[in-house]
Amino acid sequence: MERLRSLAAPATPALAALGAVAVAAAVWLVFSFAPMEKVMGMPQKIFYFHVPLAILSYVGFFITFVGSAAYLWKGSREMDHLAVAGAEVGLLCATLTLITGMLWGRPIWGAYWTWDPRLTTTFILWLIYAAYLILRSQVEDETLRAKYAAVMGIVGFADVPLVHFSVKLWSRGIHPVIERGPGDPGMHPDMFTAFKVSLAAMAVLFAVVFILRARVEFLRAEVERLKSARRP
Amino acid sequence: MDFVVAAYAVIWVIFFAYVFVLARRLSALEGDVSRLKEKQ
Repeated sequence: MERLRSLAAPATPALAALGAVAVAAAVWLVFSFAPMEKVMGMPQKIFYFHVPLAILSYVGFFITFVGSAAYLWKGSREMDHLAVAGAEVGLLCATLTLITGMLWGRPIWGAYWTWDPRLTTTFILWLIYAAYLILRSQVEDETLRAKYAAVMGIVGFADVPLVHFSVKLWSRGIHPVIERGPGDPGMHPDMFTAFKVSLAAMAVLFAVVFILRARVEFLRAEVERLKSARRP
Repeated sequence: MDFVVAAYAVIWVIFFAYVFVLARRLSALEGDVSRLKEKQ
């Protein structure tokens, strides 16, 4: 873990620069390369960042799930630091997914919000991880805080597959779903190229923010350690 | 078009605000660590 941390810190500025270039390329591809969708028109352009943000929120919550399980199994405080970083960055992505989804829904559905299964389960997911962070801020004892949060990080992850499969589990939903087949991305190839670049760009920025957030947690633990070492 | 502009603006405003907050927290914690190490 120490070796990983020493490698991550100097790589962050380079990753941030790469992310900035990739985002610029993605925006250019979305607006100048990908064709205009015939039914939705311009609002469909929101999809290129809305879907990658949703995928990355799953990644963040998966990190929390793995970190929480590893903490309960091994008792490693470092895994707890990674779990909280995953939850906070995942929650950032989930917040942006919900907002961009609402801004897409208004011109397409005529409403910012409907209680569609995908939207409802995503909102529940957002509440679970917001509650996870609130829980962490309310428990004073470090060990208890990590234990409670780990249990919540594991149980809360059960909503992720529910969100993902909600469009199939509840057939009454109106959230669009891309029908993909073997070798068929379910969209125009140029749209798929723009989508893949957007996903890669957002993944790089996700990595940068995750490294920074994890570093905050490691430094906070070090401050606590140094303070407790000074106490008589 | 307004909704597309709003969506892209929201993404970057919230993202950079979060990065700014993280950078401030990091800088404060790095200061705390070096101060505490000096006192030891």
